[in-house]
Amino acid sequence: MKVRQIPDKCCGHARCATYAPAIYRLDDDGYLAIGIVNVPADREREALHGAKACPERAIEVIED
Amino acid sequence: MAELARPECIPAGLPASLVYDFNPINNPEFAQDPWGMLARVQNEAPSLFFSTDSQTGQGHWYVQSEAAIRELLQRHADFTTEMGITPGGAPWPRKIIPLEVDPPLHRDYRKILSPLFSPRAIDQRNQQIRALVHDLIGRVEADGACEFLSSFAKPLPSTVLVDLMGLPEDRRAEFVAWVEELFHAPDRDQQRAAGVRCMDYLNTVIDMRYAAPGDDAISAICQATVDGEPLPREVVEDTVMFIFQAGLDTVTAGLAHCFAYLAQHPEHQDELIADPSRIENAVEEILRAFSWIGVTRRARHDTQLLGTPIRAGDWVTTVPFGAGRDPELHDQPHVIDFHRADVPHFAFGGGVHRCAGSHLARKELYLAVEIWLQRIGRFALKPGTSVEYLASSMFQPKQLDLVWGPKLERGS
Repeated sequence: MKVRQIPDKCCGHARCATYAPAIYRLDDDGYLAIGIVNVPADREREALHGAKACPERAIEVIED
Repeated sequence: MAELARPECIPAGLPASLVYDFNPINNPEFAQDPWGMLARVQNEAPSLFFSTDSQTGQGHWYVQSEAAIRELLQRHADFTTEMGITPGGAPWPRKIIPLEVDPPLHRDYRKILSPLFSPRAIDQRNQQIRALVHDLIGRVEADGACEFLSSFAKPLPSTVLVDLMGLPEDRRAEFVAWVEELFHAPDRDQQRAAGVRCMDYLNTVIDMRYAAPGDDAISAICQATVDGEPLPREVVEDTVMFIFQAGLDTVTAGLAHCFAYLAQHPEHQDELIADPSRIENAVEEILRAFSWIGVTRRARHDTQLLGTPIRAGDWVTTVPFGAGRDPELHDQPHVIDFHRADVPHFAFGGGVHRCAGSHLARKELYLAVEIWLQRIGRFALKPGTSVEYLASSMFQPKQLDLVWGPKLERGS
């Protein structure tokens, strides 16, 4: 599974990083700065939670 | 349908099904039972509707579905904050920055505040906020009772803010009174006068921080640059004024909502006492279900929303809790369930103007509930009292009398 940050959508709610801090890394201002990342199998659950919690729908989940 | 307040202001050609009068401001029904009234609006009115009853006298759009709220907040090129965010006029006549500035300039100004309020920066305040919460609880613990707003919900955010801004703690109560007067004084001149008092005082502090910067937020704003140029003095003033106004009332309201809910739901208190790891989730659930701030935008030009034409200059406000209780997005939206996870909500607004202080607010709410339940345990509304709300664009309990310990057991 991959997660992709949809450009210009993150508004810094940081909900994703609350659920999956290892996947959703934030920059110094607290905004998502990942582009696209591969999610290890044991982190898929938390990555999904993090994507779903985003009020802006700024994260796309790409199933392999 | 009930009689419309000002039928003459309905936009030409607007279907009657999109007209529904709603005006929470100073509405006694709303003050008594905001949740009942909002639930009724949710049932009776469509996702986007036009209310002829408004502060401007020209009518006012409301959006209440999650999709419509998200769209409104994200389309900042069409729905601006630069033309004002307070229908009927704000008490303070100057712009507040960055909230009332649109991109691209907004980005530059917001970037000055972001590192001061980022999750990482706020985490560093953990111990300080923890100590403050303990101190405030320590002052009332033995009494077995308190009026929660004056003993806790006002002092906590104001103490944190005063420290963050580098202002003198011994004048804190005065600052709180000024900001209260600015927003809630009965008359416009009194509100303006309170605003002038705030700005005059903040200007003396800004002068001092230009001369001798410290490690506080005002110093950071004074020293900030955009494209290598220092900020114009006016922008510094409007930014400092914004932080001063924004961080008090809203967190007070959040604390009051959390504790009012818990006080009336002992089973939910027991759940959190048994499993404190659920507290953050519980607060998020209360944020979702009770999102207490309606935010407003204005159409910059003729545009449309959900296929309905919106005229240049029209006001559009979100119905508080519309997104959080949208049945399209949430199962049983009116049920408060602390097991619900990863629930998106717009309690802190959204789009580029998402509340800059949201991480700080969350930290204060989480720690307040955690430490309170740890030290006080079960608590309840003082017998014979009920919760009454202040009916404004942000609604909050006016007063909250709590009891615990022997006074709770005796029920007196």
